[in-house]
Amino acid sequence: MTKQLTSQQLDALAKDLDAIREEAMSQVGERDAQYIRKILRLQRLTEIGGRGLLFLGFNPVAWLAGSTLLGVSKILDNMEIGHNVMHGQYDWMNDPRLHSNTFEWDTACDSDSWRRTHNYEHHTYTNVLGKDRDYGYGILRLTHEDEFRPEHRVQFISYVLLSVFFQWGVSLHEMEADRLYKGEVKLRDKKPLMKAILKKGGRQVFKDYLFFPLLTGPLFFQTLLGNALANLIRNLWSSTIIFCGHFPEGVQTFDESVCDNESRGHWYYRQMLGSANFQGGRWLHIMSGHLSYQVEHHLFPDVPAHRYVEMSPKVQAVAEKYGLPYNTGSFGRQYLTVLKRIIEHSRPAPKKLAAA
Amino acid sequence: MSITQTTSNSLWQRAYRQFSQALVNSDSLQHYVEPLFQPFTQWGGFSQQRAQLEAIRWESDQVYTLVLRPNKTWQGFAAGQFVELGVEYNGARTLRCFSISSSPEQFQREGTIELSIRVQPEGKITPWLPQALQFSQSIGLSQAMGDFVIEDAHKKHKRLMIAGGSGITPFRSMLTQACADSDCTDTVLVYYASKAGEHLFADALNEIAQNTPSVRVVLLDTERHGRLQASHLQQHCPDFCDRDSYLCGPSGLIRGARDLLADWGVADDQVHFELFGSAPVDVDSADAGGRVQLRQSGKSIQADGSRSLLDEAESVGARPQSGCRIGVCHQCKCRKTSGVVLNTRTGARSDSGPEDIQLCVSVPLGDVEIDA
Repeated sequence: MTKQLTSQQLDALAKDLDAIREEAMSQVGERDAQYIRKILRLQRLTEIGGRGLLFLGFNPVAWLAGSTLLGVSKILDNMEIGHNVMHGQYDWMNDPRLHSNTFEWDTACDSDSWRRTHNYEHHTYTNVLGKDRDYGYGILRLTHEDEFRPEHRVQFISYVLLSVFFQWGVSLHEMEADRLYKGEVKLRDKKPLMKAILKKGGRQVFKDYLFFPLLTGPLFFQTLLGNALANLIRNLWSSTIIFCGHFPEGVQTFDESVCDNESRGHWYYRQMLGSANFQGGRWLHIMSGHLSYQVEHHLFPDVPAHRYVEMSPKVQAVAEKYGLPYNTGSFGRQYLTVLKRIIEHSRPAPKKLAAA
Repeated sequence: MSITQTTSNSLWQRAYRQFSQALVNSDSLQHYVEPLFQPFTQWGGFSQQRAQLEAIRWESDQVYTLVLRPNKTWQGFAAGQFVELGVEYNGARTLRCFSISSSPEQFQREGTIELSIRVQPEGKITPWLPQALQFSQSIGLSQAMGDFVIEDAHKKHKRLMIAGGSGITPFRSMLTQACADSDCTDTVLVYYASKAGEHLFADALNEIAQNTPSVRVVLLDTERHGRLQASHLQQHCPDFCDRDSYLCGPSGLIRGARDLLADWGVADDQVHFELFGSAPVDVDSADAGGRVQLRQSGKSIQADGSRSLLDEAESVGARPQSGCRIGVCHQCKCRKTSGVVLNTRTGARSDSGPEDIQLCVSVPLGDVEIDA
C-alpha cells in the first residue's frame, strides 16, 4: 500500500508542486513559441511529403515511405500539437491556429467533445473508478475492483481492435454507449454530439478515402491503402502511448469517495499515483507528445509539454521527499506490464484476493 | 476564425470553408501553409496587413511617434480613425489600438501615417515597442477603424473639440487635415494636460491656430485650472452649446464632458466621443459582480465587478483569446452560456440567455457562465 499523507503533508506537497509549476510558467515565452512552430512546420512537411510520395505509389518503396511519413505527420498533429494545444498550453500565444478553443485535429474524434471529456472528466477524475471513463475505455477491466463480466474473457481481442480503430474508438467513446444502454443518458441528449461525430468522421473519410485517392487518378487504390496504413500507424502508436500512461504495473486506482471535497494536495497526490512515465530518446518524447512524461502532464496539464523534460527531476525530488512512488521504466517494460495487466484481468479475481 | 478573416456567407466562401475544413481542419488553406513560411514572414503570416517603420520620433520623454509606411493593400483612413498594431511580444501575439495622429493628406502625399504613443509605465508593450522595432522594422497593421470622424453632413458645423492627455492624437489628424483642405470651419480645441508644458504637439497646434484664423487652441492643465468645468467652456468658447462637440481622452473626462453638455441641453447627436486607453470598468450598478463559471477550464471565480471578465479569467490562469483589451477588435469574443453581463463600452446589459460577448469589456451582473 502506498504511503498515505496527512492533510498537512498534502498541503505541503501542493505548495512544492505549485512552485515547480510557477517556475516553469514564468519562463514560458519566445522559446515555447519557436518550439511549437518548428513542430508545426515539421508536421506540414511530413504530411506534404507523405501525400506527395503517394503520387508515386506505383513504386512500393515510395508507397511505403509515403504512408509512413503521413502516419508520422498524423502522430505529430495528434500528439505533440493537437493534444497539447487543446490543453491550452499555447493559448497565451494568442494565435488562432494554436488556440485550444479553435484547434481541430487530424482524427475522427471531434475536438469539441474531446476537450470536455478529456480535459475535464479524465484530468479531474483520473483513475477514479466509475468517474474516469478513460479508465479501460468502458471496455477493458484492469483492476480486480472492477466487476467481472463474461466479455472480459476476450478483452485482449477487444484491446487489439480498439488499438487498430483507435481514432473511431475515441470518437465513439464520447457517445457513452454503456451509459446509454443502462438508460443513464438519453439518446435525445446525444443528438448534437452524434451530428458532430458524423460530420467530423465524414470529413476524415472524405479526405483520406476519397479526395486524395481520386487526386492520384489511376493510383486510387494504392493511395487509399496508403492512407489507411498511415491511419493504422497513428492508431496503434497513440493507443500504445496512451495505454502506457495509466495502465502499467503499479499505477493505482481510486474510489469515487475521494472526490468529495478533495484538496488540491490530494488531487496532486492522486495524479502522481495514477500516472506512469516511460524513458527514451528525444524523438520518442516528441512523437509521444511528451506523454512519456505522463506524471508531469497530469500534474501540470497546461504547461507547454516540452518543458516536462526539465521539470521531471524536480518532480522526482518532490516524490522522494514525500515517499511517493514515481512510476517510470523503459518504454518496452512499461508496455509489457500493460499487456500483462490486460491479460491478467481477463479472468475473475483469484479467491484469496477476492476474500481480502 | 482568424484575425484577418471575416465571416462571409456567400455560397462560394461557405463551400471553400467546408472544403478547407475537410482537408486541413481549418477555415482556410492559407492557415495550413503559413507555418512553412513563418521563418520568412513575421506577425500573422501573409494574410496580415503590415507596415514598415520609417522613423521613431520622441515627442517628449514619455511619448514617441511611429512613422509607418503601410503596404500597398492598406486602404487609407479618415482623420480621427484608429488602427490596431500587431506585434509579437515574447512569443505572444498582441494587439494594441492607437489613433492615427497624422493627416490623410500626408498619407496621400508621402504614403506614411503617424501614431503617437505614450509609454505606459506599468505597461509591457508601449515601453518595449521602440527597442523591438530597432530589430524588426515590420509591424502588423490593421485597416483603419472607428467612427470618430467628422461626417460630411457635419463638415460645415461649428466645432468644439475637447481633448485630454494622449487623446489629442485624433484631433491633431483632424486639424492638420482641415488646414490642408483650407477648411475654414470655426473650430475651438480645448486641450487638457495634467501639468503646464505637458501638452503634446503644443507647437504644431499653435502653428495651426496661427495660420488658420478660424481655429483656436486653448491649452489648459488640471494642476492650475482644475478638471473640465462649465466656466472653462463659457470663458473660451461661449457658444459651445451651438457647436458639434468632439471628445477624446480618458474616461473621466469623457464622462464629465458628456454630463456637462447634457446639462446644458446639448443634443446627443451633437456629441461625438472616443474613449482613450483601456475601457473603463466603472459600474454604478449595485448588482455588479457574481460567481463566474468558466466552462472549459472548469474554474470558478467570485468577481466583484471591478474587473472585466477577461481579467477575471486570466487571474485564475485561463487564457481566452484576447486582443486590444478595450472592446474594439472582437478577438476575445466568447460564448456566454448563461447570466447577465454589462458591456462597459456601450453600457448595454445583455440578455440572460446564450450569446457571444466581448470578455474584455464585460463585467458580470450576477452569476455568469462563459465558455472559456
